[in-house]
Amino acid sequence: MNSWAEPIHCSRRGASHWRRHQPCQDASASGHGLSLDGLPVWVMAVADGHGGSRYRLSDRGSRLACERALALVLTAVSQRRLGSPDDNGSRAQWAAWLSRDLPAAITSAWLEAIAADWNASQPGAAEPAGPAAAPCEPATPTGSSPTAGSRAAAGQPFQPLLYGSTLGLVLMTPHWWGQTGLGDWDLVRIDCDGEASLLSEERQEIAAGEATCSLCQSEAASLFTSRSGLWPIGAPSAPFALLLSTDGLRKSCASDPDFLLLARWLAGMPDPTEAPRGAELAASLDRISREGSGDDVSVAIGRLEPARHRHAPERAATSADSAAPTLPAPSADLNRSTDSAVSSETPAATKPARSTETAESKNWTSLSMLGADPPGTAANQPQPRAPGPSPARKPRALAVIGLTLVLAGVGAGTTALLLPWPRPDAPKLATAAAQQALQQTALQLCSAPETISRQLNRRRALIDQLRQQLHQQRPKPGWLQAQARRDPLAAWIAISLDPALSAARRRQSLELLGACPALIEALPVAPSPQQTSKKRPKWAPEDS
Amino acid sequence: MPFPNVRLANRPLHFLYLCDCSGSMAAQGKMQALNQAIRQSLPGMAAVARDNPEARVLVRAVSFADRALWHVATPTPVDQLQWQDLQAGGITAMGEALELVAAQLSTPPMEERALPPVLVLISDGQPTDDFQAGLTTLMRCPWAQKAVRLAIAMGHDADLEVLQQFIGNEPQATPLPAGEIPGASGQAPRSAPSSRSPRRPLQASNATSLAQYIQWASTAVVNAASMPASRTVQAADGSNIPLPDLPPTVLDPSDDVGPLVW
Repeated sequence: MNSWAEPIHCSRRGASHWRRHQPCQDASASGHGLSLDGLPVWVMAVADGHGGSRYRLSDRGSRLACERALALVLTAVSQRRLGSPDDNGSRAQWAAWLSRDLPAAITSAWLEAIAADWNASQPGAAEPAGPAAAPCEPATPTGSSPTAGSRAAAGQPFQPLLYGSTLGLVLMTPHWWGQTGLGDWDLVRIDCDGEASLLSEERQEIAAGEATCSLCQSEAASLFTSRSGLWPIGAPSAPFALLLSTDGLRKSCASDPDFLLLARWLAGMPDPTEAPRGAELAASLDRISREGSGDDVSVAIGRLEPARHRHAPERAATSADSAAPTLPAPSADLNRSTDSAVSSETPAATKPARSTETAESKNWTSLSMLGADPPGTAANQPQPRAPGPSPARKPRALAVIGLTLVLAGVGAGTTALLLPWPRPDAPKLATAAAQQALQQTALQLCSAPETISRQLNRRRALIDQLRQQLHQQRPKPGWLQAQARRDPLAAWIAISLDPALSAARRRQSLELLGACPALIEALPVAPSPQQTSKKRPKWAPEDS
Repeated sequence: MPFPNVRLANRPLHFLYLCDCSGSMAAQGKMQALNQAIRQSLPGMAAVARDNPEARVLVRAVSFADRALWHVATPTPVDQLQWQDLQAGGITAMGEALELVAAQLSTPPMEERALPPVLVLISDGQPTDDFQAGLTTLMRCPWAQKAVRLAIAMGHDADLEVLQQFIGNEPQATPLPAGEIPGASGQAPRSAPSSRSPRRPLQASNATSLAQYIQWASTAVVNAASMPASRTVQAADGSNIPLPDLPPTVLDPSDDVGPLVW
């Protein structure tokens, strides 16, 4: 079973904030818990208070955002099952929860928290415990962060605007991971070969320049949708790391390649033992701010550990294991700032050993999403057979067979060779935006299955055209991602029509991408080889 | 493991003067006053730049008369800038000046991580070319949309309407619905527009007030733009950067007296 190392998080006051005697308006946090079926779950978050006189309590707003978000996530996780790795229905529900239900709960809880914080600041009220200081961060400078007495002293009415903050959050489970949030945070994935890719950023058309989406906006909950996503993890997966950061990090770099290189170093990839930790991490972030943007800087780093030895028993993968949890109960020990010395240092027991696996393919992401393991990973190497059937064995075998067939098809010039797309080895869905677009479309259609047929019928011409293209020419590179942006359902149709996939592989791929059974049944299928050898049959839509 | 070889960089802050050099600027010492005001503002601007090392203040200037030309073409660190006097003569190709600036406000040559630029348009008259075309070209640039756009009207013959178009519409006060708590919507409470606002053309009627406005733009505005606090997308107050208050002496009309009135 895949397992995650304890996340590391750190927030540092920016160089310009030091000079202007302003507090650190960033916050970060991490925590862990167990799902209802006993699987370990990690969550990490960063938040960036807007700063400035208009948002003068945003340092408290950002910390309350991290605290409330973590508490909500871990409570919800403890009451739900993650399900098995193949439980795509459950995964679709989690995706919907991340993009819709959780944001509503977070914004509501945050508004309650800041209102309580404000009320506690009224004259005569006891000083509230308040949010803990940011991790890695020395005490807030005296006089720079409003105390309870001073927060309401100006006679100013309560306004959520005063506490305005962004929030980025990543939830990590053995079977998948997902992100949600709003604002100008960035999320980078660093694979075990050191290749880093920017998975999520705030789109310029949503917020340009120094503007960003904020929890204090009335429609905040809906703004999470475009930043939400859920990513399946192959079983087992090669190690990789996720780096979540506030905008101070990226804006300190001269270019995006510099930012990705910095993310790779901070995440300790490919060698986690060489990653900066504790004081070294704090000093590095200070340097980044000092030589860069001057802004506060926060990072939270999650890392999928190298797969355990194949014949080791996969604990906690079955419901029987839920009675013997391997981690403490949830939410009691959120890694907040007060344990900064501990939380910024990965415990030796959880530090992953140096990976001995072969470097994985650059196309791993797309293969993983299509249900295949990356070439070169343990799944594709001869392995000692574990006693008894392994739930993950069949999909892996299918994936290997699928890859072999495709490669054989290329070599032999068979029909599979002529497939325009999606070639299983092409990173057609390796971008977060493309996957999110597909998932959102699936969510919309699956929440109203009666609309699926109508939507497909509107694309009859497209379906016919695609069927013809499958036998005539390859599409231009990037076609699938472009379709995912313009018309995600067209991309769904394309994937479903991929004649390289057997019926089982087709279903598996669609499920892994987030399709519900109703959508899978309704999508058109590729003609069988017998049909393709004859004159192309007139397509009969499955929904008719 | 040593710190990686990555390029950390402070964020460039481009400050652009667009100066009217038409023949009318030669009258009543306006050209001389403008040259003097800009030259005198440079030390203060350099001091602000030193106080904000996270911003790299780079100055350029465009002059426009019969044609629009780069007076300072290279983005120059403010502490290295030697101001050469502008010369008056010709008509007012303001639209062409905007197009000239627009060509430099796309990425590249603008850096992706640049701070919102500051554009200061100074004029004493009316454009004689197609101002609307120039403005349209300029405002197609995302960096122009993000920019802090200020305008200084020298004397009473300046076309305030044109200068206001360059700045953009001043946000109007929107009264809250009855019973609504200020700020409950997440929007910044807006105050009624004052008669003197940096979101309107600043009217300099003598050399003293011109110098004050130039000084304000090159120090207070640069300071605000050097380390902008992030803001919510809804909190737009008409400017990408919360503009600092105008200097009190400029706000007070009684101080608006100088040796020569334009």
